[in-house]
Amino acid sequence: MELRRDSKSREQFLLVLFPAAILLAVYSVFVAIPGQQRLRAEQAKLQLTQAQAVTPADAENSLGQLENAQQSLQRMKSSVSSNREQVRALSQAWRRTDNRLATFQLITEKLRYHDLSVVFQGYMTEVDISEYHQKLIELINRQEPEIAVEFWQIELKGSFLNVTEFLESIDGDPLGIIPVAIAMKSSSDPREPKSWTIVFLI
Amino acid sequence: MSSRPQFSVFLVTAGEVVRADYAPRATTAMGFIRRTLEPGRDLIATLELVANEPAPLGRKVLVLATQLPSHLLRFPVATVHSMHNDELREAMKYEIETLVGIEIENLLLAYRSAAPQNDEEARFWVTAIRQTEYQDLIRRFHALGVKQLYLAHPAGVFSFAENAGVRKELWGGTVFEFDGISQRIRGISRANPDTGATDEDVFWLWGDGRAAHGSSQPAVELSDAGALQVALAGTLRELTYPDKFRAPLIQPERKRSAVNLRPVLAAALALLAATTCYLHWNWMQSQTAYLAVKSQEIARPAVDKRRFDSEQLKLLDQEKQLEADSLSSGLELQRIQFFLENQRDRIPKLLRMLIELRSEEMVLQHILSEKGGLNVGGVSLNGEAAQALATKLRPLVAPLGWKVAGVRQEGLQKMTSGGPWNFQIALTDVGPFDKPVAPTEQAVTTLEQSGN
Repeated sequence: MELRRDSKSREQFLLVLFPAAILLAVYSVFVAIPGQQRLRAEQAKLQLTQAQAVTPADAENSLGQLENAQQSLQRMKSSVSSNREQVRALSQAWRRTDNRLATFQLITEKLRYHDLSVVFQGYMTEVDISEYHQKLIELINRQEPEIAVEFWQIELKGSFLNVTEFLESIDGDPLGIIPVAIAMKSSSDPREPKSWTIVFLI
Repeated sequence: MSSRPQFSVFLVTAGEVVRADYAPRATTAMGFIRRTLEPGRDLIATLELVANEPAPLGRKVLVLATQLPSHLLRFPVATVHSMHNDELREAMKYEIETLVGIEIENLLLAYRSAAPQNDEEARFWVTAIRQTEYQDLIRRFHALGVKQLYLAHPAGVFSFAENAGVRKELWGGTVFEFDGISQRIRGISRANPDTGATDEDVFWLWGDGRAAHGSSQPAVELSDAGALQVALAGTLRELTYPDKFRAPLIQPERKRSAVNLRPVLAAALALLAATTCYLHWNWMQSQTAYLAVKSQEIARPAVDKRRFDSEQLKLLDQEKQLEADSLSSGLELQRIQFFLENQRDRIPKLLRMLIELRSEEMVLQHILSEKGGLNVGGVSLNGEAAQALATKLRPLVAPLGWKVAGVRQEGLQKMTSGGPWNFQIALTDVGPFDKPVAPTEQAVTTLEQSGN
């Protein structure tokens, strides 16, 4: 009788515990163990992160350096931009495109005044100028390609002194012309005037 | 009015009824009543004979009555093991129904396990009462202020610690035989009507005024009021744990819940487990989230620093390029400034220098415009005049953007000195610099991009 009661009680007790035990077992296998693994992984990640961490002051220091570099870069850009603007302004400042006819008339008058006989004068696309000036003119033309500078070439005959005085008499600034090349050839006959080729930027 | 005792004990035999009232832990009764009975009285009438005395009854009442039928039932051990307690009780009712003459549906019984005789048979000591009679008793005793009522046969309820052998008790013509060690009943039998005993070795044989048969005297003489009070007090102490009472004890049935508690308990435990699981899951989630957030917080400065450093490296690359652009644009600016400020009148200045600085022995024959600049050439009667002219020109033409690159001279061998000499002086265009510097396409392109 005692044995039967004990066994029955134990079975009843186990039956009462059974649903909770099943629930705990399922939860352990499918939720708790994977969850604990995730938790341990996060803990390991945290430890690794702590080992590799830098202080906020280091980050702020880097940020400060970055801002300094940005400011420096901005200053450089401003400088380059300023240079470019100045190049552009200078490239255009000397030019006079409004009244070229008056310029040519003035040159003709000065040639005549200095007893120089004009053989030819006119616009040229191909002229003999140094490479330095070619590149300089390319630089000027890049500032405003639609109004590229032009070459005005004058071939004349005259003495060395007259040509010198003629060129000295030309104040390029108001006229908007700049002499960039000159060539001279002497005739075999000393009495003949020298042949000159002068190239102006206009 | 006297105070209410804690316990009251009724001992009912065929010839008399005894009532004893006790305070807690008392060994002598605070009230003791004994009445002789007339034959034929039923139990209720017998009890009322002493219960209705002016002295109040105790809150707990134990009735020990020889009128209660008491039998030994036998069942196969295997059958008993396969039955639940309720089923066993029902089986006992079927067995005892014919023995006590009470219809089964009106039968109330109590049982105790008897001392086993063999491994195949389970024996139970069963005491029964008619349920209606029991209910009537309860109703009547409740009316007298009794809270709990217990009924048992008086056999086996008195303790005899000094006895280690078989004990036989004679009650109302029935002999109850007990194991002296386990105190469990061994047998119930009718007494020999001649001797009042069934065996030669009876140690304890009391009741009904019958003489003991054997070598020992009865332990308690029912006629001795003092001894009876002490014995009944000892019985009350046994009542402290009713389930362990020596004899089958008829007592109020415990109220059973209408609801089967096991499923409820199982559900409650399952709910508790589920709640625990949820709390644990919630804790794990919050911990995981907390650790993740903390990792991010700790890693943030490092991430920011890496990003800042990376951006700074990119900026350094841009800075190098911009430095080159700046240098290039600066050079271009210098060139164009120099060109506009110092080179507009340089050709007439050069011509004027040639006029003024050449010696009388020199004749300028040509000025050529070449890739590098100008080439001034002529004939000189003096072999050193061209070099002297170049030397004089060198510092004077430098501000005008020329560099005197060198003098070439060739003697025509028409004079004894080797002259006259053809000479050429190369003037290289260098602008404001010592050597020619060409503006680069890349510099211009970068300049335009940075401007955008």
